Amino acid sequence: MLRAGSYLFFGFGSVLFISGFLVSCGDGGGGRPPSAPTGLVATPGDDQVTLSWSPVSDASSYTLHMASTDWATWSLTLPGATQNNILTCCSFPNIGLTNGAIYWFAVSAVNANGESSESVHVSAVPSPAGDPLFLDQWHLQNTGQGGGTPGEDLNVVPVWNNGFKGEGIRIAVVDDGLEIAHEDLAANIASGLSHNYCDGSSDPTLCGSDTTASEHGTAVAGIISARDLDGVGGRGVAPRASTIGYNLLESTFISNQADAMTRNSSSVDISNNSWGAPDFTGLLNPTSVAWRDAILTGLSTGRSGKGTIYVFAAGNGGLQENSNYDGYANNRGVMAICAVGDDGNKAFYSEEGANLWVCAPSGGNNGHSITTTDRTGSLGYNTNGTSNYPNTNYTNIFAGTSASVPMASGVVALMLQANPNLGWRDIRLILAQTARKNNPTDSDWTINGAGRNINHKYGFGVINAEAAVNTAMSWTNLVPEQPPHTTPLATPGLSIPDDDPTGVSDTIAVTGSGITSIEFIEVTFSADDHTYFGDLEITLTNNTTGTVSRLAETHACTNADTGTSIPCQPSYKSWVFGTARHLGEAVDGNWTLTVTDLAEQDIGTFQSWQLKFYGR
Amino acid sequence: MNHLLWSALIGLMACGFTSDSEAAAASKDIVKSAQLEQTYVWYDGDQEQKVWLNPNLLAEFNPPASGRSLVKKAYTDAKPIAARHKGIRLWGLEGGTYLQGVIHNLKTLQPDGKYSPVFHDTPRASGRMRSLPGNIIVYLNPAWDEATVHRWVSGRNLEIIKRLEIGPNIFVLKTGPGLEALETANTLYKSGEVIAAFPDWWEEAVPH
Repeated sequence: MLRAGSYLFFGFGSVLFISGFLVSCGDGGGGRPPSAPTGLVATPGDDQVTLSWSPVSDASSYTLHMASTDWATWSLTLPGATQNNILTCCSFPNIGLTNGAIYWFAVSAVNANGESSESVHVSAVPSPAGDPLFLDQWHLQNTGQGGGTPGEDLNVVPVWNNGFKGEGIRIAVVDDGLEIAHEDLAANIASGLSHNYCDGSSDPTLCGSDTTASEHGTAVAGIISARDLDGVGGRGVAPRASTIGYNLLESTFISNQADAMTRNSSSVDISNNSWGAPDFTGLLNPTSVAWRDAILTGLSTGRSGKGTIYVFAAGNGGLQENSNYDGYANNRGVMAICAVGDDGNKAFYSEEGANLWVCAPSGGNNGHSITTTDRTGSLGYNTNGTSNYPNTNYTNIFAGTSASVPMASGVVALMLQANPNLGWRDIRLILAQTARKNNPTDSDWTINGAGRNINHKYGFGVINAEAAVNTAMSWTNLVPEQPPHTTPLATPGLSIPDDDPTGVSDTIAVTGSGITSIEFIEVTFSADDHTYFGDLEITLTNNTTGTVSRLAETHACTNADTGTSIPCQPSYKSWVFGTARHLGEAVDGNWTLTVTDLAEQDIGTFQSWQLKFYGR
Repeated sequence: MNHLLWSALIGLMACGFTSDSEAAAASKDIVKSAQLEQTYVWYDGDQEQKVWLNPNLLAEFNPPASGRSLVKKAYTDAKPIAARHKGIRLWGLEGGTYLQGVIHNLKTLQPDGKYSPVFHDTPRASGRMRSLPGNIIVYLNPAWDEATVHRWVSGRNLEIIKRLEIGPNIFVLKTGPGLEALETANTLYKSGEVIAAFPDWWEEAVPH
């Protein structure tokens, strides 16, 4: 007796291909049901299984049976299946096949006299054909492998199934070396556009003749665009996007930093930057005016005026640092990307900040890291395969906000393929608007005056690729920005009470800005005479909406190598903080900056501050 | 100075080496914990920035890939600092070594070598490092045409290395490495002839 089941096929873009041969449509004569099909084979594919069996001469059709977990739990049946059901099966209940899950199948033959017994039962585990490490890439599809929380991923599989894999989009990986000949990267390398800052060549794999290290960029590139369905490794978020390597980190002269942000700007859509100022000191790290001008140039002229998309790491000093102490990550022109683990919670190292835009997966607090490409052979992170993949061209230990950045870049590539007309501001707004509120019980979540979920740990939340791409497809581009509104420099000159939670505050009243929807705010602040700036907590409050941006926190400064305490100096001198948290709020109204010294000893003055609003 | 020159020559002949890895760990701790005294200023656009010179660090740009650079030959006590970047090698020097003398000697021995002091953005050596590989970045009047630009450059015995495509009339101009680059940039900025002038610093930046 057949189990009360039915059939499956298709779901979330999943497909069950049926390729049995139907030869006879007669009733077989003799008044008997046909004999059971033989030779049933289930071949796994990417979210799909292909079935084939030997034809039964007197069958008029076939009935397929599936169990999703084990043989005892059939769920659906699909009567009347034939080879032609490849198309017609789409109208059947969409139950989907999921990579990594086991499915059981059987087939019976049918004619006018009845149905045969079932064939032998076969099983298959769908997996991407040719991407043997895909099932380990929980950031792409988290089914709970490795102890993670199912669904805590980029939600990118539906985007691929919808036909978007990043074709035609170019991403510059600004990093250390990028092994452009790597077996899982080479097919997606944009020929001739890479640049080596050590020797001027177009091969950024090595700096000079030194063959060691420089593995970081290769791992980053794999997360973006490791080729899919190529028989090796895993796959990138945008597995058909083109990658370009700039090995800036081998030669971080200011001129090279500026060059790397603008090189090939007519060809580069996205600039991926999994780097920044040194972490773990608690100190302030400014950028140069040349780098900042390069960003402005890319925003205004890149992509034929639509703007290069700059994606930067929030930073890994999360135990003591705020992303706003890094002048790269808190710049208005970049999206600072934070990291969450496979449970959706903040990775311990991921820096908080009012400047954060969105988060993406990375190695989390349980140590479950990211599978990606590694330097070929014994170079790189995986040198001998003993505690990693036996194939040392790949690694499963990549982590940090470095890993989250290329995930964001990959999703942006998918968005741009779906809608190439999006400007850089559109991309940012769509990502913010469609982000998923992860770790929903975290106490820092709040809603700003425009109704957006915001969190100092998570920005607007975790990237949701499917929602972002779907939104991108029907998006109407934003109206042009209003001219930025800069307030006069306020000079309160307030002495900050030492070790006193009361603090001091100053308020700026803004009128006539012409900006009704904020996209970013820069806060320039000085307390230059404070002898240990780490004592200070600084918050910006929109008095109209009550939204608070915590710009700085009381923290220690340390020697990154030894962990020993060092003076937090020099202090804030026209330091520019960034905040994204007021996205969509109006400018006009009162804004208050509160400065509090929460540690004993060391004093100073709230000397000056200024606001610069960007928006429309 | 004579003592240093002598040391250099002795070093070149002696060629006694400790392993890089052994030396690196020990020397890093010394140079990172230093309290720095000597300051310099530079101008990031119109913003004056202060940096602190680390008397115990030397930067070598475009170092030879293998083993023994001239620094090690000239100063056997110099200890390589573990560096994240291939384009620069940092050397720890013994306390009391006269850094500028070392650089002078190295330039004498290798005129095309690129050696520079190392600075920090903070008064402690734990702060972000920067160094001077040579060349400066200059923002000239954006209204100047090409002929005016070239006339100005040649009139000051400078040479354009390349144009930076980050705005009108922004160039990398050639200078020697080390303090020469800093001094040239500051002189130009203070002259009022340029909108901005600053060294083409090597700035410490790291993968995240």
